[in-house]
Formats: sequence, C-alpha cells, structure tokens
Amino acid sequence: MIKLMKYELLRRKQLLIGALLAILVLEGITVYAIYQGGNWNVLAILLTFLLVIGTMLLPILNTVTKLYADFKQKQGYMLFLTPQSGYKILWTKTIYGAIEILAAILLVAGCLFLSGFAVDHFQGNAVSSMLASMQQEMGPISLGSAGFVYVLLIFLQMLAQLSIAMLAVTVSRSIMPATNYGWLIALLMYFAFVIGVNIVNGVLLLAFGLGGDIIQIAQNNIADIGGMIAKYLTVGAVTYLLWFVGCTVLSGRLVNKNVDL
Amino acid sequence: MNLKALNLTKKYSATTAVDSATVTLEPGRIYGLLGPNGSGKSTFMKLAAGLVHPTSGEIRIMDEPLSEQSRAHVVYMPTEAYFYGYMTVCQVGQFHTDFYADFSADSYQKLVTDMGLDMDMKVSSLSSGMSAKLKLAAAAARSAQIIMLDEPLNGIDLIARDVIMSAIIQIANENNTLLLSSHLIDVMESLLDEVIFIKQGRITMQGNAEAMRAEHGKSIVDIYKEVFAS
Repeated sequence: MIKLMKYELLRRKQLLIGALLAILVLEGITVYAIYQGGNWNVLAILLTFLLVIGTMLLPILNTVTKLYADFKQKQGYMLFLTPQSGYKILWTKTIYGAIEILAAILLVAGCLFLSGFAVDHFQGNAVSSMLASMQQEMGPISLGSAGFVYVLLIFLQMLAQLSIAMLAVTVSRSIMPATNYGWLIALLMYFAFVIGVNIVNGVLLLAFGLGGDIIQIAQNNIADIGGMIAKYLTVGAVTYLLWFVGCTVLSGRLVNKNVDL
Repeated sequence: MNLKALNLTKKYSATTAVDSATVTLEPGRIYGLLGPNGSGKSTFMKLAAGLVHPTSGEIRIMDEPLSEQSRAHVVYMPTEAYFYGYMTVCQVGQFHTDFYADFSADSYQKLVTDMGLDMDMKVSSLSSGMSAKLKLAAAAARSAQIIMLDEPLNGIDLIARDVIMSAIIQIANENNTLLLSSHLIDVMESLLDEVIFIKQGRITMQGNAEAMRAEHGKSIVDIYKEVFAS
C-alpha cells in the first residue's frame, strides 16, 4: 500500500506544489488586506472564503478525477496490471485522499489562525473578543474542545463524501464502461447517492430520538443539552465513518469483480 | 500449461467480443493470435491479464484461477502507450521494480539504452515509436511465465521494427509462453510456433504453424487470407 501511495503522491506532486503556492499567495494577500482595513476587509473576507472552499474541495476533486482518469484512460492499465487487488488500490486512493483532506484542514486552520491573529493585531482584538463572547454563550463547554469536535466531524463528513464520490465513479464505470458521458453519469449518481445517504442519516437520527429531543428543546425541557448534542455528534461521526468504510469496500469489490478497463 | 481459457466469453451489451474461446498455451512456445481489427484479440488478452472480466467461462494461469496474484506471472503489453505521462523512463523502471518481483532493473536499463532511450526522458514527451520501445523494454525486463504483446509493431518504423523483433526473440525461452497479436502476419510469421485465428470473437482455427503450412501447402499469410477473406 505504501508503494501505491508513493505513486499517488508522485502523480500529484506538481499540482500539490502549485496549490500550496496559490494558498500561500492568497493568504498573503488576505493578511495584507486585513492590515489595510476599511474596504479591504471585503477582499479579505472573499479571499478567505475562496481559500477555505478551494482548499477543502481540492483533495476530493483531485482524488476522484484521478480515479476517473485511471478507469477512462490507458494509463490506468499501469496501475491495474500490478498484482494488487481492487480493494487495495481503492483503499490506497481513499486513504491518500483522507491524508490530503487532513492536510487541507490543517492548512485552512493555519491560515484562519494567521488571519485571526492579523485581525487581532491590526483591528483591535476583534477576533479575541468574538471568541470570548462565544465562550461565554457556551457556558461549561470549552470552545477549544467544541472546535475540535466540529473539525473532526467536518473531516469525517468529507471522508464520507470522498468515498461516496468514488463509489459513484466506480458504479458508473461498472454499468456503462464505454460511454463518453461517464463523468456526467457519475456526477448524477453522486447526487443520487448523497440524497440517499442523507435520508438514511436522517432516519438514523430520528431513531436515536431527534424528533422527541427537538420537541423538548422547543418546550425548554432539556436539562442536559450538552449531553444531547454529544449524542447526535457521536451518531453523526459513527455514521460518516460507516459510509466511508462501506462505500470504499463496495468500490473495491466492484473493481475486483465488475470494472472493465 | 501456462494459460488455459475455457469457454471464455465476453459480451459488451449487444456485442460479443470473445465467444466461447477455448485455448491452452504451453510453455516454451510462441503463439500468434491472428485476426483482423475488431476480431477480439485485444479483448482476449485483456481477459487473460485481468483488466476485463469474463461474462462466462474461465481462465487459469499456471493452473490457478485468474486473480490479482496471477498478474505477477503475466506481462500484458497493450497496443497503446499506457505509462503515466508524469513519469520519466527511470521512474517507469522503478515502478516495475516496486511491483514485480521478476523485474530486472539491470536488463531494463540495458534495453532502454539499446533502444536509444534516455533514463531522464519524460514519458509524455516520447514519440509513438519511442513509447513502443519503452513498453517493450519494460515487458522484456520481466521474466514472467506469460508474456502477451498486443500489436507490438504498431507505430514502429522499419529500422525500429528489427530492434523490436530481436527483443521479442530474446524474451522467449523454454519456460515462458509468448502470445503475440498482430495484423502484420508476414513480418511475424517467422517467429511463430503456433497460430490461433480469431474471427468475430470465435477461435476459428488453431494449431502448430509448421503443421498448418504442411497441411494446407501454404504460408500462414495465405491461410490467413483464405480464412478471413471468406
């Protein structure tokens, strides 16, 4: 698996270096805009959105398009002729994607921290005051641990999205190997899968008592709101993890048994 | 035997690319898989390489059902350029070293040099002739039991053709099986011990090349014309 990962990294090396440079440039401009203040703040906000969304989407798009290219183009022969199972190849791609997602989250966190520090430094502790007031609102729940749980959930959700997208590509390749519109079919299939996954997730949350808890909140009858939130976050986290594993295993099985190159 | 296909069939919706093919390939022989374009030669090879899954039938490699482990014993050289464009010639060799225990980096380096390629060349910058040589160098540097070369002379000029032909001769030994597909039968004929004619996915004729020539009183080229013109 390590060897397969090595070639995934080599394959994306140039794109990753380019993306890293672009992120650094964007963050540099953002910090400069914060330093200037006034109308420049609009630019800083826009660039921060661009940076966060772009950086978070890149690993998923990168992993999925590389898998699609391996199925669609002859270069895929090089990979799929190796004495490695479909499971191993799919898991390698997914785990590599997961590592990229984690790196992207850390990079975004670093950029946001830097921007926050710049705002504090140049615009009168605006971020610190906002965080302090948030902490006050949250009572006994530590802002740091809440932030960590939130980031962890984002990470798990992105993993699930990645494996759902990879499953969509694999299924579309299995059922329509010769079409030129494989990417469109995969995209439509991805949206269909996401809708299906969200319905199942919703049903699961209801099964864990979400409906009743919402009524309790509306009636102000909840004594331990922290415990309730923790319960649903745990359900969410486990569900995302299950989707991640399930979709990757299914993709691997399809590659082993059904996908023709 | 090194490879056995039993009632092998591959269908793509309404098209049957390979139809109930039963073939046994023995070690120490060079087989020619001969047929016009679209006759199912490449699909048969892809089935044997595990790139395509059969609709029905079975393939056995070294007496074992086809699996990812079988690929350790099989070389399949497709007709198209198939190495990742980002790689250099050196990285192609490293890739094969990493994944194939039977790959010899020294042989590869020698073949690459003999074929006039440079280890620092980028795959994406190679001409079609150079790509064909690189594919063959990577295939020939493995000591696999089954070596399948799909149209190895495609896109090759006359001078390079001799290099490729001599490389093919050097690959063959008493332990391995070579399966060559080509429409340049006149060029290939001298290499072949056995021939398999495939027409519209069906194996129409197979046997020893010498025996066929003796039986029909014709060259393989003429037999081919007779079989496929009708």
